[in-house]
Amino acid sequence: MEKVLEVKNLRIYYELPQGIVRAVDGVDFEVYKGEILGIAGESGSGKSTLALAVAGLLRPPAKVVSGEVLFMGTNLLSLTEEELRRIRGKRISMIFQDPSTYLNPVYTSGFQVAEVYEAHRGGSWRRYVGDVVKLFRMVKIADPERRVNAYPHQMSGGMKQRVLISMAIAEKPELIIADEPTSALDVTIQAEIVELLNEIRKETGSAIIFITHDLALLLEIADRIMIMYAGKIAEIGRAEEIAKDPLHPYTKALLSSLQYERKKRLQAIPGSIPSLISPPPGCRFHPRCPLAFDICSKKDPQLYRVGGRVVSCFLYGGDHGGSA
Amino acid sequence: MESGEILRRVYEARRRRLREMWETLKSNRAAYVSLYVVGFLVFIAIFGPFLTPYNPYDFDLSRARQPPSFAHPFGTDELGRDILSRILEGARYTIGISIASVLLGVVIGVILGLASGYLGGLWDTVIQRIVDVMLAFPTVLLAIALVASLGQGVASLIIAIAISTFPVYARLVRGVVLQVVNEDYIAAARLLGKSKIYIMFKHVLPNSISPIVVQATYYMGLSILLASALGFLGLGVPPPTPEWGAMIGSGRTYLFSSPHIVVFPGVFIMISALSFNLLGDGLRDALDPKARALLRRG
Repeated sequence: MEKVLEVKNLRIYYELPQGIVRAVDGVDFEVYKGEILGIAGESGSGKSTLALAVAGLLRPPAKVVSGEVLFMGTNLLSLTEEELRRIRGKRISMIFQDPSTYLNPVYTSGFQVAEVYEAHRGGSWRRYVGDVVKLFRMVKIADPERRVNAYPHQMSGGMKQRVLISMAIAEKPELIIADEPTSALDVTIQAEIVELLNEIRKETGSAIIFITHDLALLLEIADRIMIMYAGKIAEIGRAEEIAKDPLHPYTKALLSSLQYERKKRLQAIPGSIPSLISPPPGCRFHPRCPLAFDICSKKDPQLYRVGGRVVSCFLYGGDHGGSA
Repeated sequence: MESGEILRRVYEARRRRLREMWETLKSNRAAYVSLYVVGFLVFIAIFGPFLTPYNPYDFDLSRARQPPSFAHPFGTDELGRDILSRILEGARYTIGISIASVLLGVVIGVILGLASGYLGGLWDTVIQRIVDVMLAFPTVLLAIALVASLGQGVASLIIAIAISTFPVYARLVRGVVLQVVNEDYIAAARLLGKSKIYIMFKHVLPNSISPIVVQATYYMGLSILLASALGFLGLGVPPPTPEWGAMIGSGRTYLFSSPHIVVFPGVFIMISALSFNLLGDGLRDALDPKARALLRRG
């Protein structure tokens, strides 16, 4: 399958006065054409920083320390601002968490969508009004001819998210990054938006990176899932495999916290996510890991292949004598 | 629905929006009245000289310092000139100078403020240091120095006032821009592949406009006073031009014996400054779609 995106050994640090925050610390993964890659992790696990880096939107104090972000073979990190501008919105687009703040309050929604065409195809926005109405129909905005003239404050949160999605898919990008696109919406609207993204993927063939802390949601819609913990990858695998047979102790803990039974206590993971300024030595999960053994606190696990999957845990590889 | 029909609807919605703006402005009583007052002031600034009952420059010491009467509704000044005629004649100087100098100052200030706040880095440092230096000078002193070096006249007065007031706008705009730039929709615009200059003027500027409008209308009044102050010091429009501030300056000696010489131009200055301020207040609400919706609902 064709690789749309390949991230190699990416490290992004925030250089703060209190110290260096290793938000993303050596991450490798690929995204293939037309798939939904789900990225799950707790708050502060580095998933949003990763998304911004792929979109080329990192701002100081965030700094890429090492690595490559290859989009269709080109390293995005080596492009100039102007070259990036031509890719953004056209070949890579992004959907955000809180739709209400991502629309400019002084313009109508239709104008703001038409601007995407204006930016990449030239000419006046007037030429693209028809296309905008078509897009609005595609993202299932009721009464699209009227809605193109509506201001953001005249729309509901779900509708604004649809407008933002229509912006993101306007140029049929190869890659859409959705950073918690449903977290700010009602549960019923959430389901509709997820369904919509799935349809769009089928229609346009775009690959989608779907970032969320909601693992249950990912198990339903993602093709493959990447679990992040404290700036590192814990595990990558197909959604069914992760659901049925999680490898990493962290994934196991996450899954058991999902299984809800009446009259039984919620299975929380003991402890909390470590400081990224001074992470624990060795495997970053070892202080909370029920299966940790002596090497876990001494050495950093690599990504080990297990069948078609990747897991970063000494239970599955490494030179401590365990099986590889 | 075909594209032409949709576009027709877009234009219809735009007309509806303009109507809404108008309604919002109208619902603000003070602003609505001010609109007419400003309209009237602009009218006399243009047509005043054709409406003067007497020649505003003809003096007749036998009629000096007459109080208001039917023949001279606003009385006569220390040289026997008809004050009404002088006010009508002088409107174009006072109103014209304040509008032109504020416009010029706003344009310079907004461009520098935008560049400073949005482009940042070296732009910000250089522009803000210039602004710092200019703000360190007292406004009037700076204006005096500028007029002295540019020479007396309407044009140099406008330039002097504009240059001595633009740092205020530049500072104000920079502050607002620094806030707006961090809004998510600016990041979204960047992400959609729009150019920096486009985002600066099309997305950052419209969201920073309301404090600029308020400040500019406030400075309309202030620049009238600044022009008057310069006139008072003999650096304004050269006499015998009946610029309102200069009229007050020359009549101040008779403030107690013949107050009408000072009061009438003073009232006109006050009315202009006040109506520009109130109009600015109404405009700010009318231009903001959110405030518009709120006011219409309430």
